[in-house]
Amino acid sequence: MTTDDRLRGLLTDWLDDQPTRAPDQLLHSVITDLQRTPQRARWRVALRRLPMFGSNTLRFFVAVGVVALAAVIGLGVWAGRPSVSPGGPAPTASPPATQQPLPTQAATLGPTLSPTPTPRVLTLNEEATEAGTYVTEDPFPVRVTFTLPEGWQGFMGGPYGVFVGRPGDTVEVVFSIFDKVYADPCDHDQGLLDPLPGSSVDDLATALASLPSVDVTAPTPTTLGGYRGQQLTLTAPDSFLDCTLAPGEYFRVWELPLGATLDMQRGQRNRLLILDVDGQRLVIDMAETPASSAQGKADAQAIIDSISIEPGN
Amino acid sequence: MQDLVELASRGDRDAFAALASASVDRMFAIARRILQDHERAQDAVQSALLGAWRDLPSLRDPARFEAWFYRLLVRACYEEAQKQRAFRVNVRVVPVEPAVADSTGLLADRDLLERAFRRLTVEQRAVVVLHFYLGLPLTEIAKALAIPDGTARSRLHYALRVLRAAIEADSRPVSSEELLA
Repeated sequence: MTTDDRLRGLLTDWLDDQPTRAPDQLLHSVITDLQRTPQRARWRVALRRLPMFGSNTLRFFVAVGVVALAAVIGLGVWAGRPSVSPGGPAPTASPPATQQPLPTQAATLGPTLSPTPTPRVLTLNEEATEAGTYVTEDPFPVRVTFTLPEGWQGFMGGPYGVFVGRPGDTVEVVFSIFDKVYADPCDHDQGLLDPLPGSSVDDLATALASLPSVDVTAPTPTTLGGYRGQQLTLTAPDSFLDCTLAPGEYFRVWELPLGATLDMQRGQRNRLLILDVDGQRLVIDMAETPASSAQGKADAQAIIDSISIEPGN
Repeated sequence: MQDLVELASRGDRDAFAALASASVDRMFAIARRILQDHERAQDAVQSALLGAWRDLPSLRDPARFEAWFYRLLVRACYEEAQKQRAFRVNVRVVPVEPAVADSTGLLADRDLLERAFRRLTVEQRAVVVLHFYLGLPLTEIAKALAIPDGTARSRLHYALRVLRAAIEADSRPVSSEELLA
C-alpha cells in the first residue's frame, strides 16, 4: 500500500469515526432563537453583501449624498431666485478643473517606473498564505513589514501576537508583546515572576536572562529597523525529566496578555530581539528546534532581515 | 426540501425549523471535523442556521440551498477559528515534532493525523472535510465555497502534503536523538 493510499484510508476512517450527532440542546436553542430573529428584507441582504458598504463607508456615502442633494436643491433655489440686479453680470461658475494642464504621460509614469510593491495587510481576518511582503495592521499596535518566503504562512492571533511559520517544519518567527514571564519553566508550580518585569526593554531582557532551567546568553545591544534594543538567545534543556511542567506537559516560559503561551520543546532555541518602538516594547522571536530544516532556518533569518518597523497602528 | 426552502424564505418559521431539524446533525458533524472542537462546532452551526434564516430571502434558487448553506457554515467555522486563535491558550505552538514510532500502530497514526490536521489552516481543513467526509468533488466544493477551482485544488493538495509528511515521518527509522524529543 502506498503512503497516499494509507493516508486517504486513515483520513477517511478518522473523519468517519468522529461524532455525527448534534447535541439535543443545539436544535432547541436554534429554534428558540428563531422565534425572535427577524428575516432581512431582500434589498437589505443585497446591500449588506456589497463589501464597499461597511458601516463607515455607508455613512460616508450617505453623507456625500446628502451634501449632493443639498447642493442640487441649493442650485435650484439659486437659479430660480429673482435677480437682484437684472442688468448686471450673471454669476460665473468657478473655472473647471480641466482648465488645469493635464499631466503628461511621461510625467505620470516617470516616478513610478520602479514601483515599490505595496505590502499586503495582515489582520485578524486576512492571513498570509502566499509568499510576498506583508504589513501587520490593527489591532497589532506596531506596523511590522516583512517578506514571507515561499512555503510559509502567517496569521495575527490578536493584538499581542503575530505568528509566522513554515508548515511541516519546526521553525517560527513571532512578533509579540508581553510582560508575563514564568519564574521557572521547569517548575510551573512557581507561577509567574513576582513582580513581573518592568516596561522597559532592559527590564524584560534582564528578567529573561535570569531565568533558571534555561540556557540564556547575556543580552547584547542590537538595532533593527532603526530601533534599538537587546538581543539574547534562550535554549531549552535536552531533557525535562526532573521538571514539574505546565498542564499538558509544557515547558512554559512566557505568556501573552490574552493567554497564548510560549512553550519550548526539548533543545528548542529562541533568538529574541526586544525592541523599543517609540515606547512600545516589541519582541521579535525566531524559534527553532533540533529538528528544524536548514531551509527553514535560512528562511527565518531572511524574514528577520526583511523587517522594517513603524510605530503605531 | 425545496418546498420547505421556499416557504421558509417567505418567513415561515416552522418550515425553517423543519429544515434545521433535518440538517443539524450533518452540519454539526462537518463543523466538528473542521474545528476539532465540540463547543465551537455548536456555536458555528447555530450561527450558520440563524444566518441562513435571516438571509434566506436572498437565495434566488431554492435548489442551491444545500451548497449555499455549506458556504454559510464554513464561514461560521472560519469565524469561530479566528476567535479560537485570538483568545485561546496554545495560539503559540511551535510546530509539533514527529512522535516516536510505537507498537500501537493505528492509534499512533490517528494521533499523528490529528496533530497534523490541527496544523492545517481552517480553510484547508474545510476542503479536506468536504472532500473526504462529505465526498464532494473539488468542483462542487469550489462552487459551494465561492472560490476558484484551482484554489480548492491547491488547498487540498497542500493539506494532503502536510498530512502525508506526518505519516511518512512516523514510518522512518527513529534516531536516538528523536527519542529524547
